Amino acid sequence: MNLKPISAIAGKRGSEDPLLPLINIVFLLMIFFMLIGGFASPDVLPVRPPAAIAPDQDAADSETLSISADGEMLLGDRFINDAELVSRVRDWVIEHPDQPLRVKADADRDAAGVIGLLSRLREAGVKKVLLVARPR
Amino acid sequence: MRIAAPPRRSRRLPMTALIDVVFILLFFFMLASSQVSWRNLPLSLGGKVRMADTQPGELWWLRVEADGTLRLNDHEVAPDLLIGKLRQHQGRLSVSAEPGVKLQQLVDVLDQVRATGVQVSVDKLPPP
Repeated sequence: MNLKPISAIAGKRGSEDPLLPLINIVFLLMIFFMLIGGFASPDVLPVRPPAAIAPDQDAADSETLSISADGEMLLGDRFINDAELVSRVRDWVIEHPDQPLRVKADADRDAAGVIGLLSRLREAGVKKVLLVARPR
Repeated sequence: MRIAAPPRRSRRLPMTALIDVVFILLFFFMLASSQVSWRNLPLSLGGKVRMADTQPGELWWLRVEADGTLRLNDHEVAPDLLIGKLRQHQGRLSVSAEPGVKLQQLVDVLDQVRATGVQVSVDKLPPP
């Protein structure tokens, strides 16, 4: 029987072959990050929400009202000012009557101001508000 | 004339270029993806609650003051005694904050209060 020595077979294979396991791992990592990570939308308005330990409530499709530390407001992807807040929110409520509104306010924002804003949201017809928080 | 055929070379896939591209894709997905999951805390909006609308004893008030002091029904209460006191309460609790209290302070108090199972709403300060 004429068997070739293993070294002869190994010699025929390319020098790049040791890279194949590396490529496999890199591919697996890439697929992991593709599937696990959701795309983060760029922060138009920098907001750092308060930390909380309260349980989460799912609100994937809800609109978000962001309030930055210096009082700028963003409803969805549109900047709004204080005067047009109620009218804009009312328009949103008419289109989405049963959806909760997420309020993403900065942790350094004045709490009394946020509560005042929440009561204006209620006047605008919002039935349910979810306060966005970081997991503690 | 006879042209000699070029010697046949084994054609291999160029791995180095492939690895470069895959690494770039990997970095892209690592940097562009976000693993932060925000929590959504349901807030009950009480609006302006008037004492006249509620039965006596049904509604308790908790006021967070700017220096961190907690006042339960107008009596100062130590933060570590708050939970014990609220466990005796069967009705609703209205939490309000003075101007100067940061949102993080209010959320900390709400976290404590929620642990007691009492029904909480967030309200404006009651009229004096």
